[in-house]
Amino acid sequence: MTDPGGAPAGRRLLLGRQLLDHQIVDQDGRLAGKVDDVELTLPEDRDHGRPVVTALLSGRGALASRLGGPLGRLASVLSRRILPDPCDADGDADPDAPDGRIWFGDVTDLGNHVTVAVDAADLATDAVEQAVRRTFVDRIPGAKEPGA
Amino acid sequence: MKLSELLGKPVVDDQGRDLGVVHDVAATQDGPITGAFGAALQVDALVVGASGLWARIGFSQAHIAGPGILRGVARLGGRTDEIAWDRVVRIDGDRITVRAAG
Repeated sequence: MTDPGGAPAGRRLLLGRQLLDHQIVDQDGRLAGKVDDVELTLPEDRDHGRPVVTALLSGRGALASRLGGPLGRLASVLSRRILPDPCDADGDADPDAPDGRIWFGDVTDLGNHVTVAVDAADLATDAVEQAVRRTFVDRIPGAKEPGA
Repeated sequence: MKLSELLGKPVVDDQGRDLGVVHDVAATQDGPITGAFGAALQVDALVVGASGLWARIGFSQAHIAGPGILRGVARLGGRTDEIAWDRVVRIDGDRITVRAAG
């Protein structure tokens, strides 16, 4: 049996090998970051159920959290310097800002890459990419010239 | 809970025996229907093997399907076993405790 997204039901995966660090591709085929971590939700009744994969985590410190230790702390500090937590006009935390979670229900295919039914611009990884461009790439002489 | 909180974590049984560390987590697509993906992935086992350099760089026997020479090299890091999720008793910050087999 195959679901509409093409993933055969009953298929078995190794989450570390077949999800972590895989490229995420959006609905238009644009690159949208890598899978930095996977969210598992434990059933309410832990004695009679198994954890379910509920989201992919990407960008905005997800990798720093996974690395852990001094390297993870360094990556976290750098991530916050480059990309401060999003705020609304009043300076409060913006609840609508993408938080790096991609609901697993938005995944349409798992293979050499992970295809999701969302726009890359709506994902937290896009904010990271834009921030890196602003902070580093645009400062390279000639980077803003046409064709660069 | 995040996958990264399980990977690399030591596993012991409830009699105190060291079973190794988590090399990977196996999941089957047999959960409730969830959006476009269809049936959700549900964790069904921990893939556990010896700790050490091989496991840290992801060169686990569970991860190498071929060719044969690579499988042979991966075997140097020790074999891996699957522990069914229903044997997991407790997940602490520094270890996972499972019911002893048999």
